[in-house]
Amino acid sequence: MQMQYVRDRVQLDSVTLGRHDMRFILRNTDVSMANAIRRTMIAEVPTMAIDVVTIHENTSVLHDEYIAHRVGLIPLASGAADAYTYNRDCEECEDFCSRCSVGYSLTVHNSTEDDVPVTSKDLIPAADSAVAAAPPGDPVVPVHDSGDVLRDAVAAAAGTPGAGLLTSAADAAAKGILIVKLGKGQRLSFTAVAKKGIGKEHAKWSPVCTVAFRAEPPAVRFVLPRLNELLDETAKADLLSLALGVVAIDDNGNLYYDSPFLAGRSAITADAVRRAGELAAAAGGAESEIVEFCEHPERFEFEVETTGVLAPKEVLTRAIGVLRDKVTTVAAHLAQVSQEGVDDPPLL
Amino acid sequence: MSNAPDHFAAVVLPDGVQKLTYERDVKVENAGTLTIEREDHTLGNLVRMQLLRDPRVTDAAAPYLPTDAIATALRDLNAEINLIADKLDAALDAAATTMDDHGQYR
Ligand SMILES: [Zn+2]
Repeated sequence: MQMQYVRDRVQLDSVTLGRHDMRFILRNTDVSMANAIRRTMIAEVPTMAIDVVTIHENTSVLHDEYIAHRVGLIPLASGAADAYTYNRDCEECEDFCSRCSVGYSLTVHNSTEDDVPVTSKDLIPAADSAVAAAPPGDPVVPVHDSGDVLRDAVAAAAGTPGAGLLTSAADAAAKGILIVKLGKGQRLSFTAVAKKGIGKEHAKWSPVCTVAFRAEPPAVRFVLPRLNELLDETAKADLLSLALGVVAIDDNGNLYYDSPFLAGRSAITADAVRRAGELAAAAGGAESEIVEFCEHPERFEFEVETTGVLAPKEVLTRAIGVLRDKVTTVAAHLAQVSQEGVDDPPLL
Repeated sequence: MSNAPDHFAAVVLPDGVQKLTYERDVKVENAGTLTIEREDHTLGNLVRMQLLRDPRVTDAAAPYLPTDAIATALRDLNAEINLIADKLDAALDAAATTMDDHGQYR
């Protein structure tokens, strides 16, 4: 069999890499492929996250479950996630072992007069060998500076480093991620176990904050030359009132696409389409002349922002691998089912 | 402790459940129902759209087994994903250079 329906013109390019974010363009394929890649990055790339917290002592203002939940959400560097087995599949242990889990402990006692923040920096790999630390080189440790890219960008845009904003990754890393603040004399002590999982099980295993894509060209567009021909000044102004951010009127009184629309930040609403149709009809045209539909966008601009547990390019690379495994697994099962006599005549 | 299902219940195939079952339609030729367990819109929509690219599916005239159609769709999807992986490798090589030049992005 030849591969006659493969989209062999598919292209991925224009990659821009940041520390915790990435942009790229996927071309000449279908929305379903773009969406499958997006969904796989969000929900099916394995990472490590804390899943079991045993509280030994907690006299803080937050109750045990609240703290356990917060600890679960701390991003853990997951470059080595593939080296771990899923805890539920682990044949080496009953509970936890170094093949399927990473252990941590935290003990903080506030013996000062002030409030003491307990952060991800206080979370230290467990010393006991039953739940040992990660393989050397790529340890599963908290990502203290998760999300600093955004904060960097905001500070840079405002032109005021400081002003309550962390200005560098180093600052963020130095502060760590806040778990709870302990008042005078309060204590918090627990052990925690991180396991491998995927975002589909719980969002704490998702390696990304967000993955978004924008399809080009936009699904609905006006045929501006025809509109300019048909509509008079009043009609254009009428349409403009319903399509702010989409079209604007230039010095010659002609409609043109406004920058928010061209940048994909605004879209043509159903109301605007209806009004444009009515105005065109009143001027002797037809709706079909002034609106065009693009059913098959073929260019997808992606934006990925990670939580810091994996490099953005790793998230994409692994997502593509996961998607491939998914397709080949189902194909293998299908081949099996086909062999088991699908071609038998139906029972009835 | 509680009757909540395991959080991996949406991911792991329960004992005795087949990953994939196929049931031929009893009335219509060339039709059937394929059920894939523990998958979602990610794979479902991908396969559906790929099936719609196959004229032997959309024309519905020639005898064409649904299992063959799906096998073809999965094979073609696999080929496309491999192409994307190759393009990504090349694109990342190019991107790495840009980042070194500018030191920082943004
Ligand atoms: Zn184990």
